[in-house]
Amino acid sequence: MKNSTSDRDGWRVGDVSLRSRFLLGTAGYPSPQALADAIAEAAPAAVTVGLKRSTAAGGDNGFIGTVQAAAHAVGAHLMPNTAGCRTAREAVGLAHMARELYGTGWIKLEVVGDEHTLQPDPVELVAAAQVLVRDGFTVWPYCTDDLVTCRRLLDAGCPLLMPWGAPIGSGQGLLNPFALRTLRERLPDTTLIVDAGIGAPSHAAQAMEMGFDAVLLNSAVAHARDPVGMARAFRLAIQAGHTARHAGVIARQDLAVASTPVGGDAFLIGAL
Amino acid sequence: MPDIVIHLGRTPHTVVEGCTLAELVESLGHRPDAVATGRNGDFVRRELRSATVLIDGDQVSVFQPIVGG
Repeated sequence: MKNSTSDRDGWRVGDVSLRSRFLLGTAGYPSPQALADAIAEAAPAAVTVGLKRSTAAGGDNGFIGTVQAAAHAVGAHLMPNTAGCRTAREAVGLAHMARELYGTGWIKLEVVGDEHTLQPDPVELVAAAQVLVRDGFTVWPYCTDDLVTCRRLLDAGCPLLMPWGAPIGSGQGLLNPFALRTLRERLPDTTLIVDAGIGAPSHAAQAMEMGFDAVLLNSAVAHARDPVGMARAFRLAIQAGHTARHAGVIARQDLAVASTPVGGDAFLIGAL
Repeated sequence: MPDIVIHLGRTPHTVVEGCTLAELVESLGHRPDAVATGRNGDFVRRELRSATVLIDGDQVSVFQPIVGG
């Protein structure tokens, strides 16, 4: 099933047209105001949100209300995640709760298989995706860069893929460019989004230059000394990388190639 | 009515026998539309909470929105 598209000007998931290629997480900001300002500056296509287990009514210092208002102001969609899930069953249950609470069928599907790296569990991920697609969700799977797992997720009905760049929150950038390039080359018509591990705007630009369709990140903005300034930097870097991709980045070469068209000798030394 | 013990997450919680999930949500101070609920690992839709009578040993999950990455 293929129900997402992307071209030079924009991209589409199902019936939803999107222009920004920046997806922003909402956790870890120093204050609700900083979060709101960062969303305004990023102007993302979507902001990610979560769910937490609760035993008694309590506030969240206004963060969720801030997210919803700030997202609405820039036309960003809410995308709940299934963070914290370790099995397909947990993720399916949490996705249904998220749909009821947030009123959206979009779900960022996370099923983690390793506590140390927070690496997605490919078996549980595919199993959860199959059920959720059947239940009418638009599944945005957070996955590794393994080509075969990615194909299984597409077979399950995911309209796009979100391979990691590096472990969540690590800020290491694109640890395996070979695998990411392979995904881009082997899945040319699939919407691909680098999710997780991005630390600097240059990492995001690199992903976009490689032909990825969007970038999702959180910590790099939320934990910056100036989250609003960093949101701006990422927005510009993502735009620059995308523009460069379509302008055509030149091929790398080992040896120098003179750029100035010099003809003959510059100076006639000893000619007098 | 006698009491029964359910679990909210890992925390034991005593309710009156016959208590419904909707009544539990209300007793915890939540607005019905501010949380999502599950019972023994299965999602329970908001409109079904009133018909969901808790039994001793039930594992109840109550989730609310939060920021996320």
